[in-house]
Amino acid sequence: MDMIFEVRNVSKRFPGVQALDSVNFVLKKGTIHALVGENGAGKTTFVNIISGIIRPDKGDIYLKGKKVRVNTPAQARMLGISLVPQILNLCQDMTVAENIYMGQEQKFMHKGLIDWKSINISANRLLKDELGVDIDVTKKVMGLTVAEQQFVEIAKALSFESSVLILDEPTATLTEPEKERLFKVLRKLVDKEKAIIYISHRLDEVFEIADIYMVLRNGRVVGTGSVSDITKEKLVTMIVGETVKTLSRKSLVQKPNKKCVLEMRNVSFDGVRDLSFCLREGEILGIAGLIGSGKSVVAHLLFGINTPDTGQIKIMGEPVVLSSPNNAMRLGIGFVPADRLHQAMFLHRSVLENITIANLKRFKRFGLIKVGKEKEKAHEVSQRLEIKMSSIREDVMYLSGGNQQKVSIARWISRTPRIIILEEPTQGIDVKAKAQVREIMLSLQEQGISVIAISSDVDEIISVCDRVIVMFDGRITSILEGGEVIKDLVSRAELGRYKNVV
Amino acid sequence: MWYKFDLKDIANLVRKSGVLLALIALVVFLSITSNVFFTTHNILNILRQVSVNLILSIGTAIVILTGGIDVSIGAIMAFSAVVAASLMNSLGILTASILGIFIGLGIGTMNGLAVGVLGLEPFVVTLSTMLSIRGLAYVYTKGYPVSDIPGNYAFLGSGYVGFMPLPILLSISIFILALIILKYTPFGRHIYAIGDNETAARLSGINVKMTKTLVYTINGGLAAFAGLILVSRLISAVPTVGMNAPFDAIAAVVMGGISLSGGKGSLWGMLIGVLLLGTISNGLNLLRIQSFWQEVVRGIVIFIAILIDRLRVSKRL
Repeated sequence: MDMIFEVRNVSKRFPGVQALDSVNFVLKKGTIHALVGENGAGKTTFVNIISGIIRPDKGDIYLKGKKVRVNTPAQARMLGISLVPQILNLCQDMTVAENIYMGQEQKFMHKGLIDWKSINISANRLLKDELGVDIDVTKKVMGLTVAEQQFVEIAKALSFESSVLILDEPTATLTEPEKERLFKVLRKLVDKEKAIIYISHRLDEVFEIADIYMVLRNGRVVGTGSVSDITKEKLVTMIVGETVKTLSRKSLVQKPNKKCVLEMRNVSFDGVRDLSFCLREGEILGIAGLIGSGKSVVAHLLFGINTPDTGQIKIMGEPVVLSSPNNAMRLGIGFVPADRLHQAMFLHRSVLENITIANLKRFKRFGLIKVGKEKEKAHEVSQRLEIKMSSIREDVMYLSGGNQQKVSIARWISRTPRIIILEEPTQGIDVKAKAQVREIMLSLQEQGISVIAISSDVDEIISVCDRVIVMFDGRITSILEGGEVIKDLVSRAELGRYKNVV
Repeated sequence: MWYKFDLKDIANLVRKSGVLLALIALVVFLSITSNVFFTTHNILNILRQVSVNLILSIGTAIVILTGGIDVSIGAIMAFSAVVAASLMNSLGILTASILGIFIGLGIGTMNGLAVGVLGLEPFVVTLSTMLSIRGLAYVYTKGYPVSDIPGNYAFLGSGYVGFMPLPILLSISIFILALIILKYTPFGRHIYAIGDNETAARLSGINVKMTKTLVYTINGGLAAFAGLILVSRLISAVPTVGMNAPFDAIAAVVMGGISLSGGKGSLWGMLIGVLLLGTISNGLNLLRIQSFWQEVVRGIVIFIAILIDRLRVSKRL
């Protein structure tokens, strides 16, 4: 029988929510099984259960027909179930080989000491033969690209002789060519009869790589079957459970002669060179580009995280020096960073405190925060952004990714800034939250706030932006507006194939 | 009024804290085994004894909440106390005391600048401060106690307001003030924010360097103040005073559920920790346990208290 892994009737309840409700799941060897669903649908809980991170309240797990207990990640690994986590946790200061065989050094003991040479050899064999990738195993992980680090994680999983591999959002931070490389690796693994559980928000990928799909919604399986038997629209409906409000491309009517709220003139810093552009009042300006194009550096320069080596930044026509985030904030700039967890969220603080933290001065009287006023403001903003929470006093760590992102945006809205910079505003959040965040961006514009949206998601860029700056290799290569804001041009410009700025 | 009592924090404590449970158990046990324990006199006695550690724990707690640590407070106590004590006859009690507190603030600020602005490791910074400032206390006194202290200075440590010993009033006032600051001022929110996620704090416009520096400054000032109270009670300033002070304070803070990695926990828990430590010492004295053994028992009780805490927390998962 080629069915190697089965989950029967698994349920898990967390305080206030049924995270998983009688989930059945069958995995066959040599297949890629896509697990899709909105954030909060139960995907992560499911994965955590089968990889031994949490225990289910009910239900059983069978491996090759035998009932097994998966109580710890180590146990899961011994059974051949390995998780390649969304956030890679390799030791940056150690070599590739050291990372792959971490904790398994005893396999390579020679006269009581570790035989590094043979570790390196077998790590190299693993990467080359099993994955077909070429990475110097004696290099420190620090110097690797995200994609390469992912390969190392996969190799690490394979080093335990895993038969079931779980990949959680593996392509979230990969460029297109890197993604292709990953898919090649996955196909190779399938040829070697491995079974893969593939979690992704990107449905295109599901259709490209997966054989079977399973849709989770509110902790239940709402659909499963062969990918070749379903259309993309049907899958979306299954995931969302209601019709998504499709975002129409906004009117192309230009609002001419708007003055520049913010301007960069010949700014250079680190890898980016000679940036010149203007953010017009009340527009949504997109900044597109592949990873490494320098687009995120622009945000750092505008928010005072880095200061330019040369060149000038002007706000409302006045030259300014943005020396710190605090300084940028005073000039009316807000910044929603891409890395929510590490750069925006205070996970152990309440929604309320997370929203008002950058704006406490406003509620201060005689040195003390007026709690009533603070709460009122936080309530108002969170209602406006439809943040789903049990109470405004709930710690932000219990919110889903999409709601955390809204909190991150709420922090700046409560200050009523002149300019908001959003970096990857909808990365890693579910379809519905994505649409909501995009609507929030449009509503900011209606209020007259100028928005910069830095994004790797071309669909997002073209659906919300009035104008688009495309960066390639540290330079601005195109500024697209009006009818030029179409997917084809943006994508081509991102690859350096289209230029309209010299 | 904007000021509301932290009912939620207290309720949480009652529900979750193993340390509170340990404290209650200990109180019940001592009330049964000793007929002296549960008397107003003895309770006030315990409170007076813990007031110095309470003040030190408050400072330590805010440092730990930012994700830092300060092991130099004992040395700061000693140095500022011997200097202040030696100058009381010439400068007057008040001036000398104020000078002592400024010494504490100054040393604390140096700690703060090293940690906050230079970005050095707090443990190492305050360890070196501890060594050199303790050394200075020895140098200044040549190793002898300063005991030529005006008699009416005893009021600070041994005086009463009504029936209430003054040190208790002072430490409780500082506790309440610290509660308000942590909960109802931007500075307090910033302390928690930095301990929770320093990068996010910086990107939210918080002046991380200044906040961190100030936290050590305050801790230095509180240490000096605690030192003054101790000197007043003993009417003598020895350069060896407060050798265990930072560790008692850290023990109280950690037992109180404040995470050593910062950003988590409340002062209420710490208060229970302080009371537990004080009750243990008092109880061991009442039970006439030899002082060397007291140390052993204290260590074990601290361990058990945090173990209970941990077990209760993990059961909730």
